[in-house]
This record gives sequence, C-alpha cells and structure tokens, in this order.
Amino acid sequence: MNFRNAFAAGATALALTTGLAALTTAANAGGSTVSIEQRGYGNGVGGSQTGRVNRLTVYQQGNRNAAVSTQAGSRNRAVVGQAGSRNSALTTQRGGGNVVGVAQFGSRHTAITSQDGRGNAVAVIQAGRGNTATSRQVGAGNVAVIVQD
Amino acid sequence: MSTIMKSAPQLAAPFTGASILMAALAFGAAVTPGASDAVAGAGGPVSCAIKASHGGGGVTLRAVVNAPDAVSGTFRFRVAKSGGGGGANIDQSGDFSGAGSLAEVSLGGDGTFLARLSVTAAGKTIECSEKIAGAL
Repeated sequence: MNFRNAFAAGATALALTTGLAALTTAANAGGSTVSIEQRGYGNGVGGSQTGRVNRLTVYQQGNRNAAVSTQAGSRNRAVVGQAGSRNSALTTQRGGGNVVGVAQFGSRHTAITSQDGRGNAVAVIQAGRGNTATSRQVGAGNVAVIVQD
Repeated sequence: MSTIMKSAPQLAAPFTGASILMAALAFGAAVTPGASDAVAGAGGPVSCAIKASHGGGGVTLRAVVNAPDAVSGTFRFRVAKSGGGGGANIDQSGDFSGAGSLAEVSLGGDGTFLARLSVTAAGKTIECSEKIAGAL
C-alpha cells in the first residue's frame, strides 16, 4: 500500500492511520484546501469541512477504496477521482453554490452525492461497466450531470 | 431549436459552477418535445414540463413549472437511467414560486432514461414524465 497526502489548510487537523485519512476543519473556518492521494487496496479517506470556499480533492487508485466527505457552507468544492474497481465516493454538501465532481474509471464503482441548498452542481463521470451513480439535491436551481460510458 | 408545449418563461437561474461543468461536457442545444401536465388551482393555472435538449453526445433535461407569481409550491424531479455503462438515479426537490426552471439534469452515454417531475401547489399535484431510450 502506498499512501501519500499533501494538504495545505489553515485550521485543519489531519489524523492518519494505515490506509485511512481523516480531515476536519475547524468550525466556521473557510478557505481551506485539502488534497489527498491514495494508491492501493482498501484505502479510505473521510472528513468534513465547514465554512466558505473550501476545497477538497481526493484521488484514489486501486480497488475497494472509499472517499467520504462532508462540506457545510457555501461555494465549497469537492473533487474525487478514482480508478480501478469497486471504489466508492460519498459526498455531502450543505449550503448554496457548492460543486462536487466525481470521476471514476473502471468497473463497479459507486458514486453517491447529496446536496442541500440552492444553486448547487454535481457532475459524475463513470467510464467502465457496472457503475452506479446516485445524486440527491434539495433546493431550487440545482444542476446534475451524469455521464456513464 | 424547437421548444415544447406550454413553455414557461425561463428564469435566469444562477447555476453557480454549473456552467463550467456543462461546458466541460459540451452539452448542447437542440430542444425536443417533452411531456407536460396542467391543473387549475388557486391563484391560476399551474403546469409542468420537461424540456429535453440534445447535443454534444448527451441530453439535458430541464424541469419547468409555469405558474402565476402568486403561486408557490414544491417540486420533485427524478431521473433514472438504466442500461449502458451502469445505472444512475437523480433526485432533485425543493420549493418554487411562480414560473421558471426548477432543476436541470444532463446525461451522457447509452441507456434508457426515465424522468418524472411532480409539482404540488395549492394542494394539488401534477406530474410530467419523459422517457428517452437508446444511444444519445
């Protein structure tokens, strides 16, 4: 298992265990950027960001990896890229003007996104077979883009 | 571009970030007919429609309600995709007031897409549906 992470976030605490990364930004903080890259099998990353203009980028390569993230506030962005098979991405955003993008390449991936607020956008791209995408948006003026090929 | 029946005036909805995503996917423009429903309720008639725009290898489905400004209610727009590279379910819901675009879904790839829009106002619910099958 090869694990690497790089992040630059004021008021961000990062706790690591083998194959697991957890991040949490302080309440009401904002403007933090977290970037995590994992390769291998059975990795997991999870955490939450609160405030405005937070950024979370996760890339996982391998099998059975999981990325779980929560962002609360406005104008937050979460981007998850996964390659391999049976990987999963679960993102939750609350607030307005948030954006989440999930790109999964391979087979039998799962992407689940949930957004509460106005003017949110989600884009899920899945290339391969047997992938599933579930997106839930509550609020007006939201946009969802799903491409599976 | 052709428009659909009972087309409600489209609001300039602030799709923050959406324009980037949409542009990246290069979804386009040609509008084809969808399905609609209407009911006369308190404050005036309310109708719903699903507008489909094909282009760029995909289709964009927009949930639209046509109602007087004084009418408010709730909506739920669900899109299910089966076949092709996998399955997808999209569930969008919220409140509305007056006419406008409620939510938008863009889809790409092969498969069958079933979209359903339900609008509830003044104690009455109307529904619209649209089914698109085959390669987009």
